[in-house]
Amino acid sequence: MNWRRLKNIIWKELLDLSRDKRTIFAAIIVPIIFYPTLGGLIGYMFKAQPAYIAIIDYDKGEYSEELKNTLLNYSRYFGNVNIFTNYTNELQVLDNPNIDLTLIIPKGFTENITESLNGVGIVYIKPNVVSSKASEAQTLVEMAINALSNSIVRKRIKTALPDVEAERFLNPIKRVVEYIGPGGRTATPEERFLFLTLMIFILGLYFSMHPAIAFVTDSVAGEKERKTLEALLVTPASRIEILSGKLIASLVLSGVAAVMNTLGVFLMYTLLFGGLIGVQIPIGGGLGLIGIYAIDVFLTVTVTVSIALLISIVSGSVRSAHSNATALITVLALVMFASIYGDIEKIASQTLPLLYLIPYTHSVLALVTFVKYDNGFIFSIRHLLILATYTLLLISLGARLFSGERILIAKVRRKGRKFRLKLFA
Amino acid sequence: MLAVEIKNLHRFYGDFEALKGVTFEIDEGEIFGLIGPNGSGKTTTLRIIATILKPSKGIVKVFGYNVVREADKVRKLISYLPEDADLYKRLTGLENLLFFAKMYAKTNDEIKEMVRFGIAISGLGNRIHDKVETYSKGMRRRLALARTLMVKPKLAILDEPTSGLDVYASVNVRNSIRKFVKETGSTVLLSSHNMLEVEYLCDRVAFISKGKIIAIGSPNELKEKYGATNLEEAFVRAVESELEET
Repeated sequence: MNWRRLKNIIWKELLDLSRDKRTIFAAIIVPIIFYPTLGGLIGYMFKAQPAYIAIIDYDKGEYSEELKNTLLNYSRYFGNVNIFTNYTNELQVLDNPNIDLTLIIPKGFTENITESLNGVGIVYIKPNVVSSKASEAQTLVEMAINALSNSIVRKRIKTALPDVEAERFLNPIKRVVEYIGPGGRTATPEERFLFLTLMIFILGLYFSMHPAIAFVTDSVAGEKERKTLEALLVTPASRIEILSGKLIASLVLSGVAAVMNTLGVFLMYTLLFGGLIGVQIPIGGGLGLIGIYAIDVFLTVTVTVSIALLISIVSGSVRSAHSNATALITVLALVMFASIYGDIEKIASQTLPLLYLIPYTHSVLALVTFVKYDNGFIFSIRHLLILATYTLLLISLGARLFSGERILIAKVRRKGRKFRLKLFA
Repeated sequence: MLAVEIKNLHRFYGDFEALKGVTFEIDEGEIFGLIGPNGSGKTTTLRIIATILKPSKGIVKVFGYNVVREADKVRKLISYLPEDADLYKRLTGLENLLFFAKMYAKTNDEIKEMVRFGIAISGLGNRIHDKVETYSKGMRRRLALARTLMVKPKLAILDEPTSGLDVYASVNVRNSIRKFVKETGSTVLLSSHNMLEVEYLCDRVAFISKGKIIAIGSPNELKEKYGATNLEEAFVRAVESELEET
């Protein structure tokens, strides 16, 4: 290995990269703009968008009034909720498609409750299925109904069993909830959001891979297509020097992309929760998880670079290299999407050995095991090392394939007969 | 000493035989032309000499080094201009020259000397500081030629050096090649469709057709042999006589 030549190749690649506005934008600018904007936007949409609840009161009795007042009181603390009590029938509600939920209190509601100790009043809850806030509105309405039910039961207990303490009568079992983390330690309140944190981080991993695919396919298949590679291969630089130069430049891009991605995802997280809940929530897992995420992004991008490199070597053009690499990497990354909906160690115990063959399984497990196990750091490092091993194996294979013959001549199959297609001559 | 020695060279692409026993030699300091139509095997021959492709059969040596077993040694002696080869578009002309100079040179003085020589060959003047993406096709080809010749290789391999260029640009390129050989004493192997170009530049010429060398000699010898007034006519007659023999 001649270091002077290697340095020269890295210099050329980085100079070329620094002037490639599209890749710079996708790898460095997008994470720092896209993720925080996405997080802020989702949070803002949830916070800014009010839930509309229409109450149609046919009863106009004591308890229907109490239910309305409870609902109005709760809505003040619940966030952005508007309650409409001016509707007199259901047809009027239909004119307003923004109503998320309609609560109908039929005539006789109060009378049914008060007629005996066994009396039951009925209300009709009608959530709008196309509304994103219907579930939030339903939660609020049910909280108000529960509060009213509780109040009625207390009154009934006082009437029927004057010596009984209503609170103890209603709650014979006292619940004490303590959140625990790996190893049985008491967890901090923000750790309840770990599942969501991992979900966001895994999405961040997926999006971080794509700029690297574009860079590598352009660096190898692009040079081939632009016919600059042929002249380079005839210089005294060895194949391994050329390949290493390209890889090191890709790793520099991966490193910068990893830093920007981590920063972007961190901002997305805080903005998202700031918008959703109204308060900034520190990341469960703390700096340790952020550190593991940064290394994970770097290694995930690196393994992606290695896969894209192999495909670029055997592809005839940037377009085919890029589309083939994107297709393969997207298929392999399905494991990431699967892991968003659950713990893949739990749901895929039968197929886990097969999933272990996919490098991105280890990208996911490096994060999951860090928060899941006591001494999660050790499990996490194990998966990160597997990712690094995959990278080295793929790079070694790439070095073997990176020959003039393979680069200049693409093997194709047509009509079942194998032959070689001359690309340049 | 022989600059290039090729014996019974065969090359297959799958079932297709692109080269069928090519044999020729090039003396040191000679400008040698390989002439033939598209698909005749010119580029394949040049790529094998340039160590990019491997022969299926036969021996190819450059200054005594085998292009398969001693490819590293061969690459230190040669420089190659592929047909329609482009440059790094986001780099300036100067940065392109610098990049290739650093591949060959061992000291900073050598790099400076190579780049200075490259700028002179390219004739780009102050435009050498502009990005290649702003250059015309002729400027790019001149820069690509400069990149190939500035390292003063013992053997320069030029595949269609004037391909796609207008008359003025072609004359410029041809003059640069002539000047380069005169100044450095290097050997040049070039391929071309352009018979006038070959007649003007080359000391000796080989006609190649369907993967076979059908005639070798100086332009005058070939014209005389086939009773032709120019090299183009000589080539056509050589191909016809080959067809008659087969």
